[in-house]
Amino acid sequence: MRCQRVRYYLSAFFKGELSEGKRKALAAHLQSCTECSREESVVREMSMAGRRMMAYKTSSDFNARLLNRIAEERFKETRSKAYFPPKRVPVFSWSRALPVAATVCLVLAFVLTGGVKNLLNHDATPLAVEQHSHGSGLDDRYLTVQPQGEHALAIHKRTSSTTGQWAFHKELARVNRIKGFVNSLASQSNFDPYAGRGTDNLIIPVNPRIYLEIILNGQPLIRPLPSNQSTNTMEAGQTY
Amino acid sequence: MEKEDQKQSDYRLMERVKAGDLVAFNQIVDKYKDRLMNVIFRMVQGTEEAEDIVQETFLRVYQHRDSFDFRHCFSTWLYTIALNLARNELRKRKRFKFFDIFDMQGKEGEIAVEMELPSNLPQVLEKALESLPEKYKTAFVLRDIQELPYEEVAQIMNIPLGTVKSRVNRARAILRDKLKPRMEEYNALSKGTLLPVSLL
Repeated sequence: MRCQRVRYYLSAFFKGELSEGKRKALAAHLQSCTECSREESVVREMSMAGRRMMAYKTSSDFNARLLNRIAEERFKETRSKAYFPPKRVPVFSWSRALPVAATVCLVLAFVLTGGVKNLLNHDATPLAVEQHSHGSGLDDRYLTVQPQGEHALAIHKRTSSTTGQWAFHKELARVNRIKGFVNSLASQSNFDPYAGRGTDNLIIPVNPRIYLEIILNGQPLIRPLPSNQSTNTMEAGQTY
Repeated sequence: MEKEDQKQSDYRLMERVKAGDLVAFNQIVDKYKDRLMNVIFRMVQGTEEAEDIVQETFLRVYQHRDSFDFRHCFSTWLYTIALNLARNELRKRKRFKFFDIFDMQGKEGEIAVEMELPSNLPQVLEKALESLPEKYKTAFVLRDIQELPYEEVAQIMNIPLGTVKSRVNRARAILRDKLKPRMEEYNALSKGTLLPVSLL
């Protein structure tokens, strides 16, 4: 064993912390090396001095002071339990009020901007043509005004993509105006819609391609106008 | 075996303390207060501060008696609390060290001890211990002064067993180097050898 290693293990050797093999090797080295044996005597002195080191003691009133502090702690605990009972749930708190306020604001905004009225407004956007152009059936609201035969309105939509919807809406409004006008005529006692016509219905040309067939007290129908059809009841292009 | 008995007796006392028995608590305090004082005094180098820390340690033990885990050794828990409090105190001191007007006084005191003849080796060893870095000092005090097993020192300091052994050995080596000249003088004086005038 080398001196450096022996000196590293000297304290452990003196404290009896070394394995049997190391202890024997170290003892053999100490017998032959004077420098290391001098070092060993220093360690022995140090170890003995360590045992004789002063033992510090707490003061005589240590326990009394400690128990006083504990009594104070216990008193504080009891007092805090008595005077400050567990927190109740507050009646008002921002964390609860904020979601409620946000919901109220949303509902108010919905109502003030038209709300339900907007949802129920059937006249808002004429969807019938759009739906028809996608191959689906017409909106239920327009069931009574269906294009027949050549689907003139659908064709019209295809030829004029930007104004198609509005053209249909316009035609429908005109049909309604005519219907109202005819009904007001019918309500007059001297009006005879069948006079000299030989037909049950009133035929009104709407544009050069379609006509309006009005069944009295019934719903008007839009039909395609045959090419040789003569407008015997009204002049073409006349509007109401 | 003795260690195991001690452990069991501590558990029995702690069970009573958990139930609110102050007599049992007082017994625990009596058993450990001086041991703790010996360690903590050497850490903080002040009787009042050390006693305050030991008091605080026992107060914490009482306050947290319900959280004591019976799977662990009571003395380990106690030393860990005390050493943590001592470290906090040292940290606080370090923060205000710059403004400490008594620093010079302390250094003068140290010089005075250095100049003394080593008539009292334990006192010299104590002085040398003061100058050890905290990590070596803690390991040395717990192992060589408190004579706790290495395993327990490792648990208290929360470091591996090998590190504890190396720190203890390092502390011993530093102390040996510091004390060696004094020891040699002391031995020479006790043998009646003539010393150079400079050493006297």
